[in-house]
Amino acid sequence: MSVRPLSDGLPRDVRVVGMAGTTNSDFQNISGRLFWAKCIACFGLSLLATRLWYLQAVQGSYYRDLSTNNRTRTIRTVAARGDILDREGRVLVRNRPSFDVSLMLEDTPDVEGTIEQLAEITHRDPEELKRVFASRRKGRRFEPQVVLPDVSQEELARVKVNTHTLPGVIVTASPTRAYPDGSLAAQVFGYTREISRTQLAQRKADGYKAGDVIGQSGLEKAFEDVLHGQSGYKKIEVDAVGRRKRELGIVDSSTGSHIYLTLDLDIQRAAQEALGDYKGAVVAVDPRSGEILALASTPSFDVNMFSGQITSAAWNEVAKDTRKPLTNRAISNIYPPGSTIKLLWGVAGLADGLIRPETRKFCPGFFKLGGRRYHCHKRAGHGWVNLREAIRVSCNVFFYELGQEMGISRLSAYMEKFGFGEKSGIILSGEEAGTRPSEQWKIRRFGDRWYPGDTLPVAIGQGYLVVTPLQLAMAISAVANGGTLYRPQLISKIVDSKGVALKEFAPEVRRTLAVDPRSLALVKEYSEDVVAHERGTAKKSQVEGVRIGGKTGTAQVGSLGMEKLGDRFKDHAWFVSFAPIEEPTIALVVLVENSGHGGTFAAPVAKKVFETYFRKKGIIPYPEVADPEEGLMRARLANPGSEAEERAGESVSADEDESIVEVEG
Amino acid sequence: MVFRRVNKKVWMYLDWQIPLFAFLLCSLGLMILYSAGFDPEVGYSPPMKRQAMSMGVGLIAFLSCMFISTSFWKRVTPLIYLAGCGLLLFILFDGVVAGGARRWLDLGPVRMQPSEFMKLGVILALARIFTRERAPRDGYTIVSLLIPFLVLLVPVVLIIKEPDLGTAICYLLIGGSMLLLAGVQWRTFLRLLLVALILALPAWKVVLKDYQRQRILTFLSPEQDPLGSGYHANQSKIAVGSGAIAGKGFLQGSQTQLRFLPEQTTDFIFSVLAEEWGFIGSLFTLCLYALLLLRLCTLASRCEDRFCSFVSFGVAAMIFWHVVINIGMVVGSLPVVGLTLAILSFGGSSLITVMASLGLVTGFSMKRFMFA
Repeated sequence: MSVRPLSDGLPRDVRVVGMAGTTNSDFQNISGRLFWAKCIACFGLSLLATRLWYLQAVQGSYYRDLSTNNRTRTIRTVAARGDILDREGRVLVRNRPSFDVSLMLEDTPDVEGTIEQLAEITHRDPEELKRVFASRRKGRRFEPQVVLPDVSQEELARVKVNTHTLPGVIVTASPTRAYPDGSLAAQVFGYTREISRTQLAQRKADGYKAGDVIGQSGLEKAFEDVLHGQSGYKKIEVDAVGRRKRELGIVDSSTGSHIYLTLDLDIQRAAQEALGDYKGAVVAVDPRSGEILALASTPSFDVNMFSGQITSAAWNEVAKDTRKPLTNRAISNIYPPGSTIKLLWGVAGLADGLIRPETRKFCPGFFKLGGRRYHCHKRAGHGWVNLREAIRVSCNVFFYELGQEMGISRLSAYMEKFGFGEKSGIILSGEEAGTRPSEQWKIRRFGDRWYPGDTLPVAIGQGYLVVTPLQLAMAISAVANGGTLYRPQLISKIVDSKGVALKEFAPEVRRTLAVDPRSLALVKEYSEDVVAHERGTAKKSQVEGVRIGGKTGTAQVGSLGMEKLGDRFKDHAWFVSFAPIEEPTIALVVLVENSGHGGTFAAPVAKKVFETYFRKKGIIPYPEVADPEEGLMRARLANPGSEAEERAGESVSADEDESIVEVEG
Repeated sequence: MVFRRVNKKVWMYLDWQIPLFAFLLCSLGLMILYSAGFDPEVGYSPPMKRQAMSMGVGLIAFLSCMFISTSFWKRVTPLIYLAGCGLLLFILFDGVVAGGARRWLDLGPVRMQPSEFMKLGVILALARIFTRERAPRDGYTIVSLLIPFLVLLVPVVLIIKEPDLGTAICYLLIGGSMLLLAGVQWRTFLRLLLVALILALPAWKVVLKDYQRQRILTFLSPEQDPLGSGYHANQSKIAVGSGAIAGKGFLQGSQTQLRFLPEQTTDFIFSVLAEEWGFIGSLFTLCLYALLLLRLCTLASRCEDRFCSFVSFGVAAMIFWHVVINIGMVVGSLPVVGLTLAILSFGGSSLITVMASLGLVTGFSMKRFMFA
């Protein structure tokens, strides 16, 4: 093999890259360059080694964490809310599984396309879905983002069948509220909805996350902390495509605590059914403890509609309904108590010694004060009446005179004793306080002094005095139980998910009336006439075998004759009552809005509730065949048009109190 | 004469280091592939099985190349080169398309990637040209480099057409390395650099916007970044870094076993090794490559025949650039271009090419002590 020294005779100024040393040999030349090549190779590989050292040794733990995050997903398991049960342990509110179709964003290459595909599969509007998705979208990439909440079984099946073409789409089950008897006590239970932005901001510290469900009204809101429970976490390992490989760990969610109410499902249902299509309220209280047995408000709404994904149209329909189904009329609406207040003024008059059982006053059909004539509802007048008769016939003039004698300050003091003008303290939010008119109150409220003419309407439950049905029920309970004003009690106990009682609620006394018990006993006795007397105004509430005491009332909405302008100017019918009269175990207040006379519209409702109550107690028998009279009453309630006919056949005394205030001259 | 004449003495002087390192790297490769391709459903690793078969072929190629005589190699070099160019041209029209690129030749049960084999063809051709009798005495100038440039550029253009940017760059680097070994004048070298910069900088930095550059990279190697730019680099860095010093253990790499890296058996095989065997394993592998490269350079400097020196060095350059670019890409220091890691990556063509090249160099070590 020939050796050809290439660089022989190389000019000094020409240098060759890679030429090593002073040797001229071509072989030496190459080996010189190969030496440098070795150096470069070593240098290149050491650079790589340095980089590896940095990544693996210096930042190793950082990347170890990243790889752990990479392969694990933390999935929150929402806790089931606690149940709500009635006093006998019957479930009123529980949970059902709801299936949500969600996206794992990082595993979904084409989010828009996938949503469109889902819309097509479930026959929904893709734009609507995209909008909802965008509005609900949460920050975390690793958490499922709900696209279709609460899908039907059929939709679920269609999505499941197509899972292989929908990367990143998963189905999760979460507990959702279910109300077995949709509209029963809807305003009491309230509803749950997804947490709003403002609520989220307020409750972030409590562990709430976007998309969580939170109580928005009623008990669901008032007992949110009790019902909500503790959400759990599930750690799973997934592969690069997001497929679940195995479970790494689980922290169970703990179901919220259960609430036992004092409500009785049967009585509640009877009350709501008896009110029928009328707007109105029924409050049933155990006067011995203040426990609420029924708290009904009609019209009601189907709470189930709210627990899933409510459409804005359905929401608007309920929220903007002029009949206000969302309002709990028993606690959030105020009405003049009308003649029902006469029982309480009777107690006050007797207790203060202004009248005695035998005290008689003359009713000429009107009461004259300062040139004005204040009419009794009976234009001809009731003649000489004592308290017993005045209560039975609901004579206005008797109570005008009594009110006049007592004066507004003493009436106001009694209003305070009976709990008017202040919230009764029920655990639900949205309770109204009503008014407690007094001289100071009028100055504060209207900047005007109290005129003697202001006292007379208050004496017959009109004018400035307004109350809630619940307040009235608590006041009547105080009369019935011999003088103790209780705080209304709606919750009997809270029991955790394992059945351990966390808290038991005891009756809470607000105050004692501090009146002569004999005056209470007398008024109770007189009130029986209202129901039992052949000319009593509340004959329609008679229940055979039970002694009931009560008082009807008709709260004026507009002035006389205005009812012809429309239903909303019709009077509100009241009936307050308690039974059995010997030792009352139930106090009942019925309000039927815009109907007419208390005896005609409210008393029959009370009768139905009493029947249910006393049948349960075994005091009266269950009917063997359908009661024809009951059927008649139901027909009348359902069809107010037949009312005139009914009224025509009524006795004079049943044609009761029209609290008319008329200006003379 | 096609084959070398073999006698007892030749066996004595046969280089044992290159076969040893090749064997070690092959074993390491099978082990990593077992983990990278492990399929829990079938209980073994299908890619490893195929790679083992390729290694069988590679062994045959190694031995064949070892025993083919240097003079025969010199004679067939033009033929090999022309045949390679023909194949590259052929697959542009009738190649198998995969991942948006037309790189493979369908041979029934197997596919062949001519651009891999052609590396050896180009190394041989350049070695021939650089050792011609008429080689310039005072180092290469631009004019005298015309032929080597043409020899290099024909396959490069054909490969860019496929498109396969990574491999094309690899050819240029191999050619450049061999040119430096042959020796160029400083002036020429600077001019070449200048021309390259003048052409590359404006095209790359000024004219193109960032997203366009990304698009070109994606266009030239479309299968590299299906999930958006940065996914590979990120997942790869996580895999490597999370291996830490000692690694997660065989079959324990979560990035690997949960398939966070789509190309983990081929271009990203090193991340599997780094994740499961940590810095210790990575360093061990780098050392193996370093020893192999050093040995190749040593052999190149010991060859009596300049042709053998250039071929040996070309093989070293090929392996070096593959290792540097591939691992640089895996550790996130270099952009993601599709380039295999010599011997470790899954892929028959690449493996057989490297094995054949190593066999060739091993054969040269026999020749040195042969009687003339």
